Amino acid sequence: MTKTATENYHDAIAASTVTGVPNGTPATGNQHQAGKLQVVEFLLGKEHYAVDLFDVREVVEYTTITQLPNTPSYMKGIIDLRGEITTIIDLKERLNIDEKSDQPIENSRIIVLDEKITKAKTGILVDDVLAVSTFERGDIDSTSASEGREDAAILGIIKKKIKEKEQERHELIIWIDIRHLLRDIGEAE
Amino acid sequence: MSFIDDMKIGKKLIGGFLIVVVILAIVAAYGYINAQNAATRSAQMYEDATIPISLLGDVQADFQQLRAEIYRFIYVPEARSGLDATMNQLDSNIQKNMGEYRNRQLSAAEQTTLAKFDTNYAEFMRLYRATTDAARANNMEKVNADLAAGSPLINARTTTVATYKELIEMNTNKAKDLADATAADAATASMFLGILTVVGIVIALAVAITLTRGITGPVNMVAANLKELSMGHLGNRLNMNRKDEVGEMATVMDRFSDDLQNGMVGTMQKIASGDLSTEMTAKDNRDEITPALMTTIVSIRALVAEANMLSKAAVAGQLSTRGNAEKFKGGYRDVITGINETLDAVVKPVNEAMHVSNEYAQGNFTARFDEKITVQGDFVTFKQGLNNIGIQVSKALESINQQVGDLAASAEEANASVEEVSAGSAQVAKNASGVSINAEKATQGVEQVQRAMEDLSHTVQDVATKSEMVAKLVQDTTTFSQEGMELAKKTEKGMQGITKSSTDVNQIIGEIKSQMDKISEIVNLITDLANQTNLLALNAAIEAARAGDAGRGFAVVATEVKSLAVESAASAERIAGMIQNLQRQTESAVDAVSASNVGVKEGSEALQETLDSFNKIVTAIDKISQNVSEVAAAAEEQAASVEEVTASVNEVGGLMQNTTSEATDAAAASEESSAAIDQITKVVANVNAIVDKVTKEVSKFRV
Repeated sequence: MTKTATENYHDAIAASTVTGVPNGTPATGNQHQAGKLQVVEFLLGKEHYAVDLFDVREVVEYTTITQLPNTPSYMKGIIDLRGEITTIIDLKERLNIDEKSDQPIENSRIIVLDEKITKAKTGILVDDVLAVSTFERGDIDSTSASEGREDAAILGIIKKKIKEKEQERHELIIWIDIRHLLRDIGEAE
Repeated sequence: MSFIDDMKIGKKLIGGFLIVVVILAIVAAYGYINAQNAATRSAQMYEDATIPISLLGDVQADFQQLRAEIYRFIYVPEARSGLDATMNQLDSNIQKNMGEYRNRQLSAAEQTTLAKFDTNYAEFMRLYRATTDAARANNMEKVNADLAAGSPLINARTTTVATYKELIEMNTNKAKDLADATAADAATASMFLGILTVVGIVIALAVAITLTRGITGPVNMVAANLKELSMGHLGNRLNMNRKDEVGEMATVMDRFSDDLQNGMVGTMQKIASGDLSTEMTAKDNRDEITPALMTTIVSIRALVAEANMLSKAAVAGQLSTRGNAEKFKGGYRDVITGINETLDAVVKPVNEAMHVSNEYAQGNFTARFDEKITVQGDFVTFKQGLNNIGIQVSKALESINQQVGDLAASAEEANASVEEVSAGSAQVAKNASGVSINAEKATQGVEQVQRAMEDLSHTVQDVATKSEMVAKLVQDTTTFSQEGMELAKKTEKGMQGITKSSTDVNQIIGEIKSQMDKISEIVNLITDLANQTNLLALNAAIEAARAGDAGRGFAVVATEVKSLAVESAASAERIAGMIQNLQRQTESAVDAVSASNVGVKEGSEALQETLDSFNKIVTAIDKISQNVSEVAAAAEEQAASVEEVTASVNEVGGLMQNTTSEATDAAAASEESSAAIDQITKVVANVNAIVDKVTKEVSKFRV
């Protein structure tokens, strides 16, 4: 056995959850147009990440988070979002990303997830939200990144074409399986 | 005793010695007489006692031998013939010695005793011869009878012995009496000699002490008086009524003291107290004191006249007047030469300082103290202080020039950036609708700001006018105290001008700072707005995507708005960077101004000593202070105007907030941006105007 302490912990708290192959396509994939994927791009540390647009309800500014006692470290706490209590998950903490943002915490954003995929109203804390983008299926590499890593919760790598000084190059965006993560921590529907 | 005092010292001494010699002679004579007495007595003793005793001694010896010889004669018949001769010899010896004794002066008792001896001796000799005859005849019976005790021979012998023994005793007694008398005489003589010696010594001592006192007392007084004279105490007089040499000496000394105290010292005291009017004539050809004193008086009179002439000339401002040192000798010449040199040393630097100060007063800070003029002591500090004013002020003004240049460049840059932002905003405005109402309101607000700014500029002009009045007043002050003190005044005025300029620059820089702070606030507002817009655009995009085909058009608009918001944020960031740069440069300008203040302070310190003398300036400065108070009041007005500006800007801020709250879409945000950018443009223009003002202010100075 070569499992890390974190993996052990995950196993312990999600012993009953399904740990099969990652979902190639989200359950609500039928909302997408054929061959297209719409995602919300965001920043964790220096790397670009993306979640399915249809899993997102809205993006709000950072507000003061009330911490809860006796919860895992990625459970950042709760906020009052227009009268509704919303649980905030620190995605960087959850994904073990140590890199700190060079912006103050006040500049970070909360992506509020769609109620359909969560038990209670949930938001994820990210360093910045960059854009809403549409990609062709051909731009996504679903195999190489997540192969053999059951708990990585990566659906695929999106290659985004960007122009920089007249030169075209690919920027890699990590497509996160947010539902899988929510399932792992027991927040999923 | 006064006759002793009147005697000459020589006579006194000879008289004293004579007395001592007489005493000595008396003692010697008495001693001689006594010695002679003693010699006589000795001779008498020899004659009267010693010789008789000797003669009688011989007689006694011969008699004893004679007495003994008879027994030999009797019992040694063989020797009888020789013994006869001896006996006869002895008898003749006795006769001879007794005869000799008899011839001497003899007392009556002696003569009686001698007669008795003669009788007895003759009897003895007769019997002696009879006995010897009997012996020769061998008549032993008769011999024995003769020799038996109580025989006539023995009786005669005994009586003879008794008589010459009595004689010896008498002579011995006589010698003893003589010796006793001599001893008594000697004792008396010794006693008298002793008394005489003591008396002689006492008299001699008395004479010696009297004479010595008579001489040393006055001499000591004279010596003491001489000591007093040597200490400079001229008040003592001896007043001795004596006619001897000491008395004469004392009289001469008293006369000398009178002369010295009343004549010489009196004159010297007059000279010391500045009275040079005394005239004196020499007592005779060899008098050295009076002519020397007269020479001194004449020299000092000439020196005083020369010094008076110089000081009057100096007081009258004729600084070129010099004393004629040729008229004087030695130290007096040094005094006049020294005064001339002092005048030279003071006048040249003062003229040069006046020249340099004039240059400074006219704003030319390149002027320097002429190095060809040598200065010393305090003038070096004065010269360095004056030069330092020029150097420090030049440096400070150069620094200010440079900083203002930088500021202008930065303002240009800011202007360019603002133009860029304007271009971006215009594009946003194209996409916006229904913005015009808020824009108009914003414009009204800005117009209010402009009016306030105009007020501000009026006030500033007012301040400038007041400052000119202050400058004029300072010039009046300069004229007021022109009498000989132009140098200090002009320098002081230059200082005041510099200080005021520095204060103005400081004030202007403060204004620039506050304006920049305002720009920073507005830039922050824009950044905030851009962020909000960005978020709104994101959510709009999400909504549009979720709406599917129906939201596709909306999605395109949202994307466009988002990119505009991002661009606005970037521009705002650049402006913020520039503003930071500007603030840094403004701070440098503040530093430069405070450096110039330090230079001015140093110059002020150098001038402080000169300034202290001129109290008149104080009143003039008071007037300046009053005008400065007015300037301060004007500045307060300025502050009020600035408050108005702040209020207007706050209003604009309120409008902006209104717009923000109303803005449910990007159009509202762009409207706000456009208004803000207008504001920036004006503020930047303001900065440019201030920079121009500063440049103008600084260019007044030549550095």
